[in-house]
Amino acid sequence: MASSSSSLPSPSSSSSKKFILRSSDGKHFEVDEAVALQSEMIKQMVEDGFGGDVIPLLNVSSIVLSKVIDYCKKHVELDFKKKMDGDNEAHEEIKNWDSEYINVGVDELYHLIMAANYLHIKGLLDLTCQKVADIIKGKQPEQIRKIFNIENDFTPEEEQEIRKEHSWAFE
Amino acid sequence: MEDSGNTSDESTSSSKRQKISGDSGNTDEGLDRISVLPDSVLLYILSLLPTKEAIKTGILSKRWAYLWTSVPNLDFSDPNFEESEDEDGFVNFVDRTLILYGGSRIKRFRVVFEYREWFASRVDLWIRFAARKNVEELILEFAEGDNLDPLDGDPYLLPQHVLTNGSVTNLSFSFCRINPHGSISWRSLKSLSLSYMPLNDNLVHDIITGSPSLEVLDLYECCGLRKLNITSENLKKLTLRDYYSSSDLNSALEISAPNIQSLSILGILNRRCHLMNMPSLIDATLQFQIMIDNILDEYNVYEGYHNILRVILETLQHVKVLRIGIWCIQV
Repeated sequence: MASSSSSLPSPSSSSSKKFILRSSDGKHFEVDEAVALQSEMIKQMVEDGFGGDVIPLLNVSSIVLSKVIDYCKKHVELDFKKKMDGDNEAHEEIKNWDSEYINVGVDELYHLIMAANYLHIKGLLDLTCQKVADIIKGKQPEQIRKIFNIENDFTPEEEQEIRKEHSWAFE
Repeated sequence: MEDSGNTSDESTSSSKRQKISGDSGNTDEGLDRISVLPDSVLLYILSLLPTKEAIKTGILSKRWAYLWTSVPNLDFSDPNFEESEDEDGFVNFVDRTLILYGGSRIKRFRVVFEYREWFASRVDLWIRFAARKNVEELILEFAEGDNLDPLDGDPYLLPQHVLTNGSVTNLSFSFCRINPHGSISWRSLKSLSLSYMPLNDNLVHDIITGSPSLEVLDLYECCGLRKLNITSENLKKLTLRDYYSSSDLNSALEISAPNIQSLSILGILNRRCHLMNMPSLIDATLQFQIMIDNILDEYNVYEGYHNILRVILETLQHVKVLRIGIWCIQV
C-alpha cells in the first residue's frame, strides 16, 4: 500500500508524544497524543496495550480523517484555553468555531458522522447529529426526503395507512 | 441535485470548500446517505428532536417507519404553552405516543405544559410509564412565567413511587408538590431542580438526606424555606433564584453549607439572606436584588441593604472567583 511520506514523523518536532494514524487509503497523519486521544476508540486501543507505531483506521478515508483531525486539534486547543481563561470566553469561541466547521453539505455530514461514530469522538458525534436534527426540525416529510435523497418506498396504500396512523402528529 | 430553499446556504458553502466524498473524489451526491446510518445513530438523532418531530419522520420511508418508537428521549413540550389554548389536545397527544412507544428504556422524559388539576390522573400514568422504563432524567415543567405564585392554584402532587425511585439521576420539577408518606430515597440522584414548589425546612432536609449522591441543587422561586442547612458531602453546587415569602419578613433566610464549592444567588429576594459556614466555597455569583417591603425601621433603606450585603461579602472573603451583579455593586 502506498503511503505519503510527507507527513512521516520527525522525532525532534515536539517534546510531546506523537501518534501516527493511517487512513483507509494508506495516508499517514502524525498527531499529538492529546489529539489522538479525543477518540475513545484509539484511547481504548492504547489502554489495551496496542503497541504498533501506526494506528490503522480502516473505515476512514484521508479526506475525512484530515477533517476529523482538524476538529480534534481545535478542541484540544480550546479545552486548554478554557482551563486557562475561564469558561465563558472559551465557550463562545467553541460555539462559533463548531458552527462554522459543521456548515457542510449532507454528504460531508454523513462521512463525518460515520467517522465520529467509528472513532467514538463524542463531541463530534454530538455536533454532527445535532446538525442533522436541526435540518429535520420544522420541515415536512417531503422536504426532508428531498434534502437527504430519501426514497419514498411505500406503496400508495401503505403510505395512506401510515399517514393515518401518524395523523395526530401532523395536527 | 437541487435542494429545497432551506438548504441553499449549505450547498453554496460546501461547494466552495473541499468536498469529502467517498474515497477518491467520486461524486456520491444523490445517494440516500442518512438512511444507511446505523440504528443507534439514527435514534440518537431522533432523540435530539422534540418527540412530535421525531414521530413525523415515521412516514419518510420503510427504513424510518416506527424507528421513532424506540427513541430513548421523549420530549413533550406544548407549543401553545403561553396561550394555553389546547391542553386537552396536548394531553391526548402524549397518551397516543406512549401507547405506540416500544423502547425498553427511557433515558430522558420531559413534559412541558400548563398543568391543570383535572389532568392529575393522566400525568400519574405518564410518570408510571416512564418509571417502568427506568427513566434517568425526569423533567416536569408545569409552570412558566414570572408572576406565578406556587401557593396559588393546585400544583401537581408527585406520586409516592417517584420519591423512592433509585434509578433517576436528574430531576427537575416545576409547579409540583412533594408530600412524602415515608422517607425520600433518590440514591442515584445527581442533579435536582425545584421551581415554584412549596417547600419547608424539614422537606428539604429529607430530600438532601435521601439523596446521598446529589451534586447540584437549584431552587427557583421556592417559598417556605427558612434555614437551609446542607451538610451533604457530595453537594457542591447550589443555586438560589428568586425567593418570595409573605410570612415573617424580618427573619432572614439562613444558608449553611460547609461543603459546597459553588454558590449562585440570583433574582429578587424579599428578605435578608445570611450565609454561614461556607469554608469550601471557591466560586460565588451574586446577581440578586433584595426588595423588602418594609425594611427594618432603624435603618434607612440604603443603609439597610448596604449592611446586608456587607455581611454577605464578609462571609465570602475566601472565595477565589466572585461575580457580582449590578444591584450589589450599586449598593
